[in-house]
Order: sequence, then structure tokens, then C-alpha cells
Amino acid sequence: MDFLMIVISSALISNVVLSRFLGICPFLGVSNKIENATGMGFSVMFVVFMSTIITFVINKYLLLKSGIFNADLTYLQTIVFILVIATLVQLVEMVLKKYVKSLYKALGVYLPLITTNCCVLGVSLTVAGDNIKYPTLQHAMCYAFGTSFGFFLAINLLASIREKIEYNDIPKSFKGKPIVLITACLMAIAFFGFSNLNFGG
Amino acid sequence: MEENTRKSRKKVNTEVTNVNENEVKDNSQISNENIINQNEETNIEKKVLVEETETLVKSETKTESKDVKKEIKSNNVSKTNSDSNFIKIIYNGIIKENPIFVLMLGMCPTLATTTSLSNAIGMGIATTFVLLMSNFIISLLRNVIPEKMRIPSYIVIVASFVTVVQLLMQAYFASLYSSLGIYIPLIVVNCIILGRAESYASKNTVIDSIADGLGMGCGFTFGICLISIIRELLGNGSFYDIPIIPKDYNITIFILAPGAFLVLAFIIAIQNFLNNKNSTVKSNISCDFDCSNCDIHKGGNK
Repeated sequence: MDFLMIVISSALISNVVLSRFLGICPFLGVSNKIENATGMGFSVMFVVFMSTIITFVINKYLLLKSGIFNADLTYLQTIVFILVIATLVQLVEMVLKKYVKSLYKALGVYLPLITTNCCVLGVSLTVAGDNIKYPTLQHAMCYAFGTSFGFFLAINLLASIREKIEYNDIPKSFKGKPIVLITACLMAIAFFGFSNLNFGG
Repeated sequence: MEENTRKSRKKVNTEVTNVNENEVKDNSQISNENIINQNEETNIEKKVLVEETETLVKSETKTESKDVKKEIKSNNVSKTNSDSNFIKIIYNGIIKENPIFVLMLGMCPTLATTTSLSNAIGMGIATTFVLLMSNFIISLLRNVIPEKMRIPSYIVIVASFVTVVQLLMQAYFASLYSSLGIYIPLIVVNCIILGRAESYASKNTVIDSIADGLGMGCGFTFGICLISIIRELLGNGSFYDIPIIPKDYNITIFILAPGAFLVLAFIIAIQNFLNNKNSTVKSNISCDFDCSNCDIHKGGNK
């Protein structure tokens, strides 16, 4: 029940894009067509899940006071995490390109973009900074899955709305980015409806 | 400059391949009109590619193309007048190529930290410091770092300075640190810093890179201060924690998440309105896929 609560709260209640503003750049940039949005959503889910596992393990066993080095090395979190994420994305891209060509074709264009995505580093830092809420690896995995699923949901919704409003009569100054931002604003207001979703205590 | 055209060429290339892939996928579903529209889009984009290779200076927005022309002029002038070039680069970063309003980079901290003016100023100063120092170090080392290892080494340099800023803030500005929260370490993945390191600091001299870092940082700070003044005034009725508008007239939505999107949307719309008013010539490339109102499209086959 704990895990379900984590997944729902990270996916819907405090949605990573609409409520915490992590990952806005691909959210606005890649959501013009549903195929692009789906590809981006899946690659974010993949990268966030894998990088959260690795950074959680590194944080727990190397950087915390209770780890191997017996010293509080949490000030190195930023540097270590971003290097791990960059290396991981590079490795994943190389492995996919060589061994799973179909998956590379579906996700491959977006993988390098995800390195500088606030979403990935944000999730890693949140999990690492909150030992009370996410004590074990299972909790961290649930949070990562929930967050990335929330991103996937938000970007697909925005892409489907964008495809529809393409045929509308938008005022000249609002064409392009402004109407997308107003749509995102309305989506964020709609997601407020989830804010009291609190079952099971 | 060449990097910009190379990048925009790459973007057009990927757009062409994307449109080609979509053509193959949607053949069975979309009506003939859409297929013809997409064909014309690829033709338009191919024409644009040819135009781009012919003329050196064509970029996506009209303002960017003006900047590149000014950069050529300023590069020619710089050999004779280095002081005014310094000021020109700073001016470029604040007004002409403002990272938030023109380049549209660094949206995450813009939307997240603009709930009050004190947060915005703190974030702006932190980002300016990191941008300045990382531009300085990267342009010092630009001939030493090998080509293939650029991105990881830039990331290490930027992350070190962000850690320094984070520790300083945690020690001396504890309240600001707790209200900015997770967005201070996220300065590392701020697109502005890596973007400027990649496109400017790795190619220009130390003094120019310092000027560019200062200009971009000031432009970013100016942008987020503007947004936060609007949001705080309308949503909280205060200006830098001094209450001005009584509580009954506060529109709370501006302090919450949707308000950020709304304020940014209106600022960009006002900017578009002013740009459209000042220009009569429509740029060929910034078409926004609005084919029915496009001047290029009207001459094609329907």
C-alpha cells in the first residue's frame, strides 16, 4: 500500500512537470506530435528508472555516513550523480545501437537530450535527499516509476491537445509557444483536482 | 556563428527525416490533403536548406539573424576597439539574445523560482556566478580539452562551481537555500550554462567569454526578476515582502504552479506582438507549421 501511495502521489498529485517544473524543455519542445511525445516519454521512463537505481545504490553505500568510507560525502552528490547519468545515457545509447536496433530507432534521437533534462537529476536528488520517505531501493524504484509515468502522461496529453488546436483560429501573437504555455497552465489547474487524493492514510 | 548554422542545419535535417518517417507511417490514415501538405513542407524545408547553404546568415528567428549580422560586425570591430566589444557582448546577452525570452533556454528555474522577488534575485545571482566562472575556466582550457571529451569535462567544471555555490548558500544564506531547495543543484543542467559553454566559451577568448557570461547572467536575472515581480504583485500583493495590495484582491493562482505558465505565455505573446508590429517581412523559416497562412505556401500547388 505504501508503494501504491508513492506511485500515485508522484505521478498525479505532485506531477513532475506540471507541479514541480522539472523537464519543461522537452515538455514544450518535443510535444508537437504524438509519436515524438510517446518516444520521448518512453526514453525518459527508461533513463529515470535506471539512473535512480544506480544513484540510490551509490548514495547509500558510498556517500552517506553509514557507507563504506564512513564519512559524510553528501556534498559530492551533484557531481557524482550528473557524471553517472551522463555516462549511463552514453552507454545505453551505444548498447542499444549495437544490439537492439529497433529500440534505438524508436528512442534513440531523444536519449542525448535527456542528459541535460532537469527531470533525471531532480528525481535522483530528491530520492537521495529524503532518507525518511524513501528508505529502501524498492521505495526509490516506485518513486522513479511514478515520476516518469507522470511525465509520460503529461507530455502525451499535451501532444494530443496540441494536435487538436493546430486547426483552431489562434490569435497571431499567441501562435507558437504562448498557446502551448496557456494549455500547460490549464492542464496544471486540472491536475489540482488530484491534490486531495489520499487514501489508506 | 558557423556553429549556429551547422546546428540549425542539423535541426532542419532531423525535421526533414522526421517528416519523411511520418509520411511513411500515416499514408493509410491521413487524407490526401495532409499528404500534399507534408510533401510541400519537405519541399519547403529542402529549399530552405539550399538557401541556408547559399547565404551564411539565416537562423530560425528574425532576431537571431539580426544578432548574427551584428556579431560579424562586432567581430570586425573588435580588433580595433576591445572596450566597446565588451559592452556590446554584455548588451547582447541582456537584450538581443536574452536567454529566457529570445533563446528560450533555462525554462525550469524560470518557472519554479519566480514565486517571490527575493528567491528570483538569489537564483539569478547564483546562476550568474556559475555562468561567469564556468565560461572563464572553459575558455581558458579550450585548447587543452580534446574534442571527444568536451561534454563530460564541461559538466565536471560546471558541477564543481555549483557545489561551491550550494555550500556557500547553505552556510551564509540558509533561508534562501531552504526556499530554493532542489533548484540550486539543478543549475548544473540549466541549458543556458551548457549551451553557452558549447557555443561561445569553447571558441572565443577569455575576455569575450567573461563578457558573455556576465551578459547572459544579467539577462537571465533580469528576466526572472520581471516574471517574479508580476507574480508576486498579483498573487501575493507584495513587492519584495512589502505588502502593497490588500489580501482580498490577491489572485492566488499566480503564486501557484499554473500562474508561472500564464505569465510567461503573456510575456512571450507581448513580445511577438511587438516584433510583428515592427516588421513587415516574414522570415522564411519560422513558419510554425501554419501552412494555410504562409506566404511561401500560397505559390505552391494546392
